Amino acid sequence: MDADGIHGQLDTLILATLRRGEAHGYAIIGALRERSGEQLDLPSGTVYPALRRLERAGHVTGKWTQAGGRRRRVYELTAEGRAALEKGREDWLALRQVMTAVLDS
Amino acid sequence: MSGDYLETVAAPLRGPRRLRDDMLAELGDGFEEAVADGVEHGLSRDEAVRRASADFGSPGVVAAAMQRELEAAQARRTAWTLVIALPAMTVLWDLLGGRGDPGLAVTVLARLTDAASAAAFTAAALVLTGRLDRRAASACGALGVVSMGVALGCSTVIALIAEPSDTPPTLPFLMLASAVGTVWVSASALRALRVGAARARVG
Repeated sequence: MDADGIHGQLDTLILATLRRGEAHGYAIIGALRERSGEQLDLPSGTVYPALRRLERAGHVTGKWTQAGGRRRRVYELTAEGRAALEKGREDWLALRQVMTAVLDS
Repeated sequence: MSGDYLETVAAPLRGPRRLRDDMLAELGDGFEEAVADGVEHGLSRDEAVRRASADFGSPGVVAAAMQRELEAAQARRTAWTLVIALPAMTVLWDLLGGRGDPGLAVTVLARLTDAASAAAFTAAALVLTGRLDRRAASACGALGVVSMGVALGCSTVIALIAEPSDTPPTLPFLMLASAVGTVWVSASALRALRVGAARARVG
């Protein structure tokens, strides 16, 4: 599935990768690939500005860390982010239900 | 070679330097990690860089997404400048302006200045409360520049038509404070316009 196919859902997918704990941008990109079974084909460079957008919205917090000689910016879900993730999930399930009902009718 | 990709992303970006450098540093670190990953999986460095460039996507697409963040940051900065400076300048003019009846022409010009300031202040308040997001930097920039232009124009006409007896003794202080405020607001508003224009160019 290309980036257009998940238009509007990228934020929810990124938030979902952070549900189990903090992660840096490249790890988030890896988690999106892995959890989608390599089906998600998006320009991974856009994940970084998307994380800044989520930070601006108060859905994640980011901070620079140093580990193993490598500098990384690590992100963590906020309470607002968890709520946004839950809402995104509910919206997606509702949309899927509508699509299925119409397409299968 | 990884520098080529980053430089292409960075070239069109305009906005607050610290955020720009911070975002590019993060992208660069991620890119280097992707290259190291490729080398670890047996690719030559050149091949790994090519693959990372393909995975990260068109520099134009990444730059456009980054420019949106820079625009939002600049919009908030200029909005703060407007919500602080414009009321302060309006109060300054009211406190230090001439006493007595200024006459109809001066009153109309003063109200015109207030109206322009109020429009810019309203846009800034909408940006800071998250109600104006699209083209926020351009809106703050344009209204900031217009309000300063109107203030300068009206104050010039007032200075020309006001009777000498209307001139308050504190005029030098008033003019200095106004000039400082005008330069501050104009500089921030022009930066916001430039950043907004870059967003339009980048995509």
